Amino acid sequence: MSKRTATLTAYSLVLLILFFATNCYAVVWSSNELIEKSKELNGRKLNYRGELVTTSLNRGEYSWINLNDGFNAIGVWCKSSSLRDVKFAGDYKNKGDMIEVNGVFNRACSAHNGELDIHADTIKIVRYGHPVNRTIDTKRIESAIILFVVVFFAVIVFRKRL
Amino acid sequence: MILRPHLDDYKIIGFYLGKITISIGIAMMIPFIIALAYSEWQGAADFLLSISFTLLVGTLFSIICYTRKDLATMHAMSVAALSWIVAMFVSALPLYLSGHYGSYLDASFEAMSGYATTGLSLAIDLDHMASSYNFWRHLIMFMGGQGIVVIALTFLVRGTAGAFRMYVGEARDEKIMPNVVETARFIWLVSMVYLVLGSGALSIAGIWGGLPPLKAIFDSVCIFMAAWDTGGFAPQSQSILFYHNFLFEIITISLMLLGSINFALHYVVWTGNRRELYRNIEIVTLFISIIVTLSITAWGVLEKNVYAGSLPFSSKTFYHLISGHTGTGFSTIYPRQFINEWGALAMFGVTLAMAIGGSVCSTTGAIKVFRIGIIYKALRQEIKKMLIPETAIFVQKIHHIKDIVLEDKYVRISAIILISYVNLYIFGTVAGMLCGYSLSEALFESVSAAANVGLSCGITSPTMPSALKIVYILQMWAGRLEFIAVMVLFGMVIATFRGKR
Repeated sequence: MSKRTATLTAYSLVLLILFFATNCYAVVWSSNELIEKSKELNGRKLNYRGELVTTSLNRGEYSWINLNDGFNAIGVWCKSSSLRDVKFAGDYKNKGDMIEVNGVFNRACSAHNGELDIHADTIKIVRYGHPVNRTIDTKRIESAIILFVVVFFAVIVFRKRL
Repeated sequence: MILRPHLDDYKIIGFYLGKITISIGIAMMIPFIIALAYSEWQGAADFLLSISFTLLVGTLFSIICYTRKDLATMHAMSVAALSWIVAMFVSALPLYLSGHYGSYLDASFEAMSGYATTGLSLAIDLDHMASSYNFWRHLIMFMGGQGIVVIALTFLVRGTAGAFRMYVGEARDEKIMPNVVETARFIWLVSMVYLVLGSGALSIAGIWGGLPPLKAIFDSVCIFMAAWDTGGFAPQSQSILFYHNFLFEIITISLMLLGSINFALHYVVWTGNRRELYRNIEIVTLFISIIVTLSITAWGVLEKNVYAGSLPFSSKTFYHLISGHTGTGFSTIYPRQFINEWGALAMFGVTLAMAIGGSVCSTTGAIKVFRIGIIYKALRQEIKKMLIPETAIFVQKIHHIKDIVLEDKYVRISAIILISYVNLYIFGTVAGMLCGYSLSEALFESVSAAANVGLSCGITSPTMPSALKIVYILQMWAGRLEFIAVMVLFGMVIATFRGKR
């Protein structure tokens, strides 16, 4: 093999490795994959993305957040300081911030009582949440009032039978 | 010869069904108030509609079927069985209107799961559910645990002999106080005292764990209701795992164990007789059963080498074993982890614990340790009889509040209920396997539904076949009522069509 061919092969290999490395890093795993492939992924550094639900649980320097990707919510252990920019947590009235974490996945974390969790190194808010506008179905209110009036008169008229 | 029921028989059943339906309508006012307090206007409208509809159904039943006659056994059993079906349909209405259920069948499944204190859930996007609907799920569970009939007895029905028959129809056969209404009120008193203590402890643990105070109190009340009534619903989709809180786990274990104890035993201990705890056949059997099933489960988990360190291993194993044995269904792992990580042996240990269950006259489901204890004693008696001289007289006693001579009638009824449960477990397992699930998955989920536990290995989901949802609803219903009332109801239906005039 000539020196030129060897250099080209080495460059190609480096490029190939870099290509796979960056792409693997960018892969965002779903909660179903984390649960189903927990043995295989245990201890690996990976990316996971989900909506912050309900609230963050502040434990001093660190906090717990639960990120729901639409299938399951996964617990993420992260620095409390990394949550400074969080605006919305998902609940009935709000759509929570979409957060992407990069960190070490644990199938049964020995530091956290055997929980399946991710210890986050970096946290990125992909999309901010927002308040949810809910319209009230007036037909339901009308039906409720009509039924209530019927019940009221039935009780008045037939009270001795109740 | 079976006699066809008379019109008056249907009227008696209808009248009391009406009373019970009205009491459910009144209970819906609590989530309605919560909806107003949390400014959940759509929730308030849905509950107002549901209250009006439920009260209308109850009022119509009571007016059309008006009677002053008392309940005979047949009526009382039929009322007990039917009231759970009517309660399921009317209580599903606000859940369905919430938009968190794929169909009315799914909402009905959730309502029956709540009433039967099972805890299997078909809710979609639970983490975004309004507090009022979420509270209603838990309140349903609390009412089901206390007993729908117990609620009606407490507030709306006079303490007649028929009332006691209805109470028995709901799988409660202990007369703790001289009067059945006083018994129902005592059950409420015990529950209310623990509600204050349990919710208080959980709130403190929640705030310590980082929950905002209002959320901590709300979730604590919900979780208390689910733990004490060994139900298993939780306000969040991750169940207890959401809180990442070891203290929470310890408190819920205590509540689950307290909820699985006979109300009569609570009364005896409350009145100062603490020795009963060490002598009672139920407690002794429960202790032995926990040791045996825990050993099997621990062996299975150990073989799979999932948890590094003794604390994660013991806490995960013990928590799920107690959750299963008491029929609660709280979980700190994901359902699929049972299949993927715990393996068949550990799942068998939990399944066995679920199948056995807690105490009679408690809020647990399943065969129950009292009956297991009786059958074990009867077996021992038979073996001893063969070993002693034929002329000798041997009397076997059991201790449950007082010493009781073990008579054949106790053994017979225990064996009948045990066999009925085993058949119910098999029925659900076969149905699960026909839907394409493996034996261990189908058995686990079937026992969980029939024994009113609520642990899932992943089968229960909105996408599961509708036929299987109906099978699980029937299992939860029959399992909670312990068959007798359900069988009497079926008998009455048969008599309606085939009975002689």
